[in-house]
Amino acid sequence: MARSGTLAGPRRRNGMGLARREAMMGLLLVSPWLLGFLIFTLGPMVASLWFSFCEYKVIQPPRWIGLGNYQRMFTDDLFYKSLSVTTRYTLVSVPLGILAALAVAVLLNQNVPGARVIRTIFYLPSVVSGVAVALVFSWIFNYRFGILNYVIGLFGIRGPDWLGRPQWALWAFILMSLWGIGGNMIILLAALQGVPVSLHEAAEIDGANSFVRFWTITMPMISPALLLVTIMSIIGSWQVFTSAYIMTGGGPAYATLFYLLYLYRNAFSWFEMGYASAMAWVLFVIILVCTLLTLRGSQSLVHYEGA
Amino acid sequence: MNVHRSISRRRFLRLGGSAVAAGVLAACAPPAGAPSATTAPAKGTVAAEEPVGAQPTAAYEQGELYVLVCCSGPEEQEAKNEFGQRFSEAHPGATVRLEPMPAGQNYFEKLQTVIAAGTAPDVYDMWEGYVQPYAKNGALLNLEPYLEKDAKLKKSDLWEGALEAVSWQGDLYAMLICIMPGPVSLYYNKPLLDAVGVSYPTSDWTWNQVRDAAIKLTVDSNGDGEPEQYGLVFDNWFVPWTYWIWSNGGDVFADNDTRCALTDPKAYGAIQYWADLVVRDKCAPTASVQSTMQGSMNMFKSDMAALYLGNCWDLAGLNDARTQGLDWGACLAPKANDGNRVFYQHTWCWGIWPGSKKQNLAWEYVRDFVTDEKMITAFNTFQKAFPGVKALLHTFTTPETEALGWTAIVDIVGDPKKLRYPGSGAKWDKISSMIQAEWDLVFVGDKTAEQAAKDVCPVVEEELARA
Repeated sequence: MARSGTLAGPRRRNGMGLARREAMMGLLLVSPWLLGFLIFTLGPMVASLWFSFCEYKVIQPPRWIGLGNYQRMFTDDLFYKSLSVTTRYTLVSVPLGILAALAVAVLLNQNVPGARVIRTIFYLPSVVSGVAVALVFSWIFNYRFGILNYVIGLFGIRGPDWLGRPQWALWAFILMSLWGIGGNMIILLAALQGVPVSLHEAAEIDGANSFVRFWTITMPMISPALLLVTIMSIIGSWQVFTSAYIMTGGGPAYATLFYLLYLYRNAFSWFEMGYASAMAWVLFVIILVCTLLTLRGSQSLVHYEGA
Repeated sequence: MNVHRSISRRRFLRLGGSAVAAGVLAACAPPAGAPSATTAPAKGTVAAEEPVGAQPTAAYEQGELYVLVCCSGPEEQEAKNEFGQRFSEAHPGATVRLEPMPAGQNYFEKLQTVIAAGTAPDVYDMWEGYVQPYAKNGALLNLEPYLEKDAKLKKSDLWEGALEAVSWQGDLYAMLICIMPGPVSLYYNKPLLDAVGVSYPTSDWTWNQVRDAAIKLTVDSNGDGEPEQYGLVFDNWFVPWTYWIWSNGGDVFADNDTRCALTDPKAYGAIQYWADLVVRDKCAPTASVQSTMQGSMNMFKSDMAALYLGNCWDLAGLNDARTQGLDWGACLAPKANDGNRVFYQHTWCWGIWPGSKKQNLAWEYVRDFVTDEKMITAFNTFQKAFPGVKALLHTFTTPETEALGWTAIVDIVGDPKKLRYPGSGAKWDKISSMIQAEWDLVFVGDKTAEQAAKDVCPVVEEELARA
């Protein structure tokens, strides 16, 4: 009996037991991430969803008001203003940034001496602190002593008061967004380098010029990467905060009141954490819808190799 | 026995869900030590009558008093540290932990966050605009019961007229430390005035005189329309513009803070007058130029502006500049052209967390702080502020104050017609930012002040009406 028991034991452990052990081990190994996710991401998310239905002045416990915060958005001029500023920024900065990133990636994909160094230089701005960038750009856009207006002045044009006039301030932020194209550029460059040379060679033999080759071969081949950077850029453009907070504080005359800045003001300056939470969830929905629309709209444009 | 138990997906999700729910409930729960509506001092803990600095009663709680301090410069911080040391020595068993936050950091965001997290300080710095919203939301201890029973400090020892800014529904919720009229001073650069033969301004100057002088003092040597030296610089935020609107007989609110009064010609006329200095006369810089030069005071310190409408807290920086060769003088901020002058009342005060476990100790700390002559004298050496306790008036009225022309403030402290605080209580911060956005357009010439007032008033009234 003892012997058969001994034999039966390992058999059980090697069967069902092994699967359980592996499951336990798997859970154990992912538990740091899992706990972090539950406590620091999912927990606050669920809490903010709850707060969005409450009047929550931060220094007092939340009080349930149902859809009050969401209803308030319909009559809040500043909400619409922040939505308008951010939408206009997205509509211009995202295509502009992708085009710039693609142009730089194409140039860096050529066989030129020092290409690796140049790539690093182009990527470096992406890792610089947002606060430092904002401070530097405050000076670049300075209308009396800034380098931008100095360069414009060389062509006999008097540069505008970029950050001081409502009609120019958003353009300054759009121009500034080009500073961070390094991340997208690297993704697109990687995609460009994945395009088989043989396809280009075959097309070249068939008499296709470089534009036709780029349009009919390169673009379809890098379209998944383009889709990725488009979605990432849209998400990023709805999350502009640091630069606006530091450079203009949302002014002049709310011309740079980005959505996230207005959300922050409600949460931390005006004791409106409930309203800010509702705004956060609306932002979540906006980003989700933008992403889904982009995915859906790109179905016929994106070429997946082997699909 | 089989000790290996599998965790089913359902059980796993249930556990996870419970954890999240617990987190949510914890987040929704009131912070530890959440305040009751009015927290009275514990029975038998009233301090006995005694002079300032004498041994306190044994009624205070033992342990560490956590004090959050805003915006102190190094000298001010040193003075506070020293006071904390003396307070600890006078209160055996009690220590003071000061947590200073330098100016420019988000003090109130930090305060709000620690309160929400249930780790509020026992005592914290407060300012006029925050007392009412904090009191309304139960984040400040009602000090009336303490004040009523305290033998050392009575409400009548404070400047009654200045108490509105630190009160809520008639009760005192923050302890008045100092009052700072804003903008208190017109600073002037003597050599620049001498160079064009402009006489030094006096406390009797009106704004027409300032305007005439500023135009003479403005220098555009290369004729590009952008002066290299401006006659005048002033900040464009609510303290200067409320001073200017009130001095001109206008107001921001009317009908007990239910209506916006900016459409009154006296109010928008005042703003237009100032905007004309910037846009039409070009004798004062735009906000952009000020920002370029790292602020209005830096423009004055670097000879880019001859006159500067400034504040009492500029004094330390300007005294430093004097040691480096800047020859400047000062007088009281100019009067409106009809001779009226109404200042904004900055109010520095202490608040006590209603959930504090050391309320008696906290009370003794704030009481001793505001009545401590050494502390208030030290404070008045590096900037000038009017002490909240009447008996310490002499710390303000020094020969230096006389030289600055600020002694006239003594006559107006406590006069709500001359030293005011804007209405709308908890909503002022938001409403002032709404108004500021419109004034921004006026000060770059994109709108008239009249139009801006017409545009902003409906929004302001909507905000006033919102519960």
